Amino acid sequence: MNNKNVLKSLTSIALTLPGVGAMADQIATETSINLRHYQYGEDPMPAKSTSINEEVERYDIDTNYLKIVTPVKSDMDFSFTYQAETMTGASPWFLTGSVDQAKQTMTGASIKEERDFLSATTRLQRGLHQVGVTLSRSTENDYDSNTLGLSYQKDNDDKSTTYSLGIEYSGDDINAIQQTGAIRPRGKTKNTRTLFFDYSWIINRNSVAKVAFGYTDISGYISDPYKMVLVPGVGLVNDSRPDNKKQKNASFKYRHFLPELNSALHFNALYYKDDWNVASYTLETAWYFNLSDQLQIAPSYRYYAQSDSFFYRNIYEEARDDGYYSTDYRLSSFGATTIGLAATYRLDQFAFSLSYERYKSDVDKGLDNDEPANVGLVDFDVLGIGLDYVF
Amino acid sequence: MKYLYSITIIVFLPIALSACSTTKVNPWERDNLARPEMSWEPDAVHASFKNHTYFSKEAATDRVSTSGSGCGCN
Repeated sequence: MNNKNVLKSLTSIALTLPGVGAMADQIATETSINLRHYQYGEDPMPAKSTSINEEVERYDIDTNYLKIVTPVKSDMDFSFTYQAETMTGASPWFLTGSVDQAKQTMTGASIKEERDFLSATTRLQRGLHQVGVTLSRSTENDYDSNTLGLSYQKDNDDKSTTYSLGIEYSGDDINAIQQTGAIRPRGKTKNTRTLFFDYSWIINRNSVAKVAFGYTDISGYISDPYKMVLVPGVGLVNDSRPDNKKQKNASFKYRHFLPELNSALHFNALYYKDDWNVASYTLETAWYFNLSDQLQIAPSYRYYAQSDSFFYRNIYEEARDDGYYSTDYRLSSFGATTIGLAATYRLDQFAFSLSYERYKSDVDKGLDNDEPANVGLVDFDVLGIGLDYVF
Repeated sequence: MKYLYSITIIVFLPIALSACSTTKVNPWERDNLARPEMSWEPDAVHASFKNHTYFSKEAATDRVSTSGSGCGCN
């Protein structure tokens, strides 16, 4: 065998090893079980912002995750995810007062909801081609969602580049829980269709990058069934938004390994635009630093900024011709920063993880500055613990 | 102007990186790229949780996974 053939054989063998692709999603070669528990807590709304002039507790959410990934055959795997959430607390209902001094009325503080989420995915690899199917179902006492996703992924011959395509369809049913003082929507539906394309490539032996583009079309009931709006001359009406929304996004991800520091630097950027006139950008960075073979820490930082939708107002001073009304802080102009720290300790086949994140919103970071801050803007903390087992 | 800034970051930065520095990397030279911390999401479960949280608190979403499903009405 001459040198050229030896090299070709070595290359072929090396290309069958896991992880040599352009960071493509590889078929699992071992079974893994992931357990997570998260405690999410929103800061209370201060007395000066509420209509009752008293501090009001907001949402607390406990979430438990179980994820199992297992190879079925050498070229096929299966994954299963179960997520259970318990939510308690009050959320913003409607705003009163003046534009500069709005007061928030909250929903009843006795709200307790549960959400169950099940998802199953199977993927099949044939040479350089991979196809995947995902089915998922999310159920709440007032909201059901069923999703079907299909994906296709292809590596080039030397696995230095990968592209993938995907479609996703989601059908949702909304049956809001009633509360005294409101007639909330029931029997509503929402359909979501998503297309995405991404392309990843190896830049050098320490760097990879990915670009992704997505398009989402949402039709049906897109309003928030638990929010109301005070409209001059009309009174208190349900949150009312257009029945169609088209969203576009483009993102870029970059990973760079620093051998001298035994660490990996992550950088993500996302640009988003929809036809409700909301635009946003997100910049995110994380540093995965291996302190030893067992211990890794990962500080992270995220910056987010968005503009407001064309029909959003803090307080409406007159009725709108199109009938669209929302004072939802999520449609306002604002920005937010998240700082986080995660630690992972590996011991044989186990990994223990601990994470903390602090999210702080700020109207001054918003992309439009023609409205005062919405008093509903939220700050929150998330504490997570996890256990992984691989065999 | 801020939109122009964000578009510039998204579109031109990857092009610049790709154009100026892509080099052939043999399969046996990809040990660093195969490390777990170099994956797009080193902790996929945590990433899914974060995506769902941001989906329910912000207007924008990249919506490329089912992690965003559910009402998010709070």
